[in-house]
Amino acid sequence: MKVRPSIVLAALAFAAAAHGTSAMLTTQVQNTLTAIDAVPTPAEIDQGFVDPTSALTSLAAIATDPSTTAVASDGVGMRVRALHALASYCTAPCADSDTAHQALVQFITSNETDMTGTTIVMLRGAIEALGPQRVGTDLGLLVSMLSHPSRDIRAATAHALRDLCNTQAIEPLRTQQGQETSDQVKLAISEALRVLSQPSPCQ
Amino acid sequence: MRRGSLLWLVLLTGCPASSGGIGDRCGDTADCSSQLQCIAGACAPLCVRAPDCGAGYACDSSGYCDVSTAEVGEPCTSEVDCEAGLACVLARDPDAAGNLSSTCAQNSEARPAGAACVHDSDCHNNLCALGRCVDLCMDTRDCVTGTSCVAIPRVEAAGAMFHGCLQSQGTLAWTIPVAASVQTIPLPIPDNAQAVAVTLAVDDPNQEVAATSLVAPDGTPLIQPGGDPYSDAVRFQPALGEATLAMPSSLATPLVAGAYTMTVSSLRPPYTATDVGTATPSVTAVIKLDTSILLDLHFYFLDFDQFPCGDTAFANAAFSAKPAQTASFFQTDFLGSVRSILAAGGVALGELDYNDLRDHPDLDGLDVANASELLSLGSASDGINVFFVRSLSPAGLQAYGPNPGPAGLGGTAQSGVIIPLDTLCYRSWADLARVATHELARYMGLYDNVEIDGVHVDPIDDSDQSSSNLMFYSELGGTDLSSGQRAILSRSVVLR
Repeated sequence: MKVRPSIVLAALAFAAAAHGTSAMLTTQVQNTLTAIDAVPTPAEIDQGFVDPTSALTSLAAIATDPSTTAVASDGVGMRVRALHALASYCTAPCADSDTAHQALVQFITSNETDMTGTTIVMLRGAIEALGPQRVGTDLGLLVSMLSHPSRDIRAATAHALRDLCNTQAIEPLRTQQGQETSDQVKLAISEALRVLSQPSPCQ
Repeated sequence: MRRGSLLWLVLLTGCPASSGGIGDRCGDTADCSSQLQCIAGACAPLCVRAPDCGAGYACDSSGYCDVSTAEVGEPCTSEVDCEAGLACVLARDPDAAGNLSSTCAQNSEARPAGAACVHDSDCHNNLCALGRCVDLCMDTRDCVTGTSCVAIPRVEAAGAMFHGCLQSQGTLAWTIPVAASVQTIPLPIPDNAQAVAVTLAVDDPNQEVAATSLVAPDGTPLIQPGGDPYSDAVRFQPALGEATLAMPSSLATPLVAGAYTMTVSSLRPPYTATDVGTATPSVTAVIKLDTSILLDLHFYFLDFDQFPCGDTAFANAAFSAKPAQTASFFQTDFLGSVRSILAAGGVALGELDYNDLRDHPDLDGLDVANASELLSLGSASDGINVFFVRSLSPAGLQAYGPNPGPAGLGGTAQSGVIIPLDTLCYRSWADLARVATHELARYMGLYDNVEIDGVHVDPIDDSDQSSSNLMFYSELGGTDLSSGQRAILSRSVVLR
């Protein structure tokens, strides 16, 4: 058996560029946020940053600001994972004002009309991450996404409304179900309605 | 095994001199032309294997058929030693020296050699091993074509070895009976086995199934009860519902012939080794008997209509099983890259087939929590099933699959790997090929050279923790494989 390699933290979490408009990510952060078949834990993400206490704000910056990612083509994958990771930095019930929650909301509101493929992928990740935080004020934002042109976004939104566990989502879900054309979304809505219609949903 | 052909025993005419041809009458072999012999009064070809001579004969090293003469109760070492109508039957217990003797006995009317069996009594010679009726032998000449004389452990006799005729190539699968939620079972490995995959399963998806201990034939512990999977000589991770143990997982612990002993158990939360569950595990063992390197892939395509980046990923055309068979982005960019990466690992792509799964809209955008529902649709039991879905949740996952996956079993909760194609919104098909091959290699028994925690490493001595390695956990990794990794990969039981 081999010995364990020592954990070498990178020298800098963010090496700010000369003008401070962009930042480079350490190799460890890049690798952690590009894992193929594993979801990094907050602890695994934290250890990539020199100051683990800054991990959340750094993660929020990666998720919402494309200029923080080193290479644009790699950046999308990292941002998707950063968006997802934000959910684990503020577990339900999360405060509306929490940094992790605010970053997700900001991303969704800034990109909800962008239909490019890369944005759809990231938007789906953000919506998926928002539901489990169970912030009541997200109901309106999520309901508005139920009519998004992308069936992938509509399906993700139905799942997020399920995870939000707010029975006020039942009516808009039923409305969308009546006009939905995608079987994928219809089934996601049915699943959400099944959960939300239980006597004590999400208990 | 006395089912050799005697087709050359035809009606005879005259008794020629030494020029007798096949079927001509003869008094002895001198009456037949060269390369022929006299059997039962007729000239016949020299034999390669005993069945060429017919029942009641052995085939010697010169190709001549020798009449079997051992009678009931007399010792034998091979099925061909005994007279026609008799079988060479293994003693129940080993002698003082630990060897198993055998004697000729009346053939029963039970199943012949090669037939599937569960109990010894299922077989004509009262010998069931590895799920097959096995005839005793001394040499491969004693065995029917397609089989070889190999050493096999007799688990009913403390693992004492005997020689039996076993299929020479391909894979051999059998079920090991388990009657309780925790039980120690034998795992016999014949000496022609290259690798073994043992798949454990329980019906309850909320219970884990585990190999809580594994002991080598020489008594060496390979999996320690309650031990750390990353420290054990053979790596195994318990899992909910189904888990597979593959050996060898490193060349430092090679697979050896003999009777391994394994304790299997279902586990309930919190899933420590002492939290024995209520479900009874089922155990299927599959051994690879040759050095074949062909990997068959069975592709399944879910619904990609209205795909977010269909313009760039699918060249603005509909994408499903049929176009995938001709589209250059799939055939060249993706499969060409997969083929190239695998070739460097000593594996070649074999047969490929393409299937649509358009009537499962609930699985188009898949949550890994429902992965077993999709994987169980992978009906192919050979090679690996590969499922292409629109997206995978949690977002960011680019692949999902067991590590390792079951061999020789289709339709199980872990029968394949899953690749979400929304990765193509920011990655190329060639990039996706590296991701897919990484996941295929995990299915085949390789582990991440270094895990995402940065601490745990694979059990292969010569693989480093470089990001240039195929098994690096990040999508930013390379395609290199160490010699040890190549050796494990090319031994995978999913290869044919």
